[in-house]
Amino acid sequence: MQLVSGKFANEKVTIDDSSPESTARIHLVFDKGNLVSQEPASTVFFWGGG
Amino acid sequence: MRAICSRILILMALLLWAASAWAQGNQPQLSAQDQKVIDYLVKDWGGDFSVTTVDQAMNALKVESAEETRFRIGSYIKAHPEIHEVIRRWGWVTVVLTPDEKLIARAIINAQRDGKPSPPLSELAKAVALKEPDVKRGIAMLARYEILTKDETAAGPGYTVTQRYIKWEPRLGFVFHNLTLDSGRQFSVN
Repeated sequence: MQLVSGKFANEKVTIDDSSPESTARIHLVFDKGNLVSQEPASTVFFWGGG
Repeated sequence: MRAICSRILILMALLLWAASAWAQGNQPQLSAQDQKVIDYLVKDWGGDFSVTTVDQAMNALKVESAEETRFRIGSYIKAHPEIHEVIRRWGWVTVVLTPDEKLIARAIINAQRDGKPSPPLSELAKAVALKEPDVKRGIAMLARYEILTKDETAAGPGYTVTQRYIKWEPRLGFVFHNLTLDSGRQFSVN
């Protein structure tokens, strides 16, 4: 996410990701740092932490 | 006594030489094109947290997508962790396997970890959202890399996971995080 919100903050970034534990595939599209679509729709996306 | 020691030393040297020659003979020879892929990866790895994979590098260089080429390059990377810190830190599997192969491995490994029989091919295909022939191809590649071992007594497609991969950290093994930019650049991060 450092890249999405930093170096590539002015770009469209597509992320194809493996689920942390299962065999599911996750597809996220960010435009200018904002999440614009997610598949599957049930994907829970956390950004940040502490 | 001295003569015996000398003979033992000579014998050991010969054995070492033979082992080295055997290992080199088993190592597939890289073509000039394969070397370009390796060079691309070595240059790309580390920048932007990149752990770019062999298939992504082949795409970027417009190398024809061929299993044999990918296996040759992957085998070289597996055998040569000294070429980059990314291989040593994240493991050769991270940069060599495709997303499909990682998910197939994960499906079989998770079942074995949980003490369950390997899922049949149809279930595997459903779990990883692939067609059965693609799952078969993935399994064959995992077996070539010795991640899976043929086992006639095993359920499902008839393979068991090699022990060292069973012990891998579940949340770190066989994962992918692939990025595609508007420019068309594709890379992986970890």
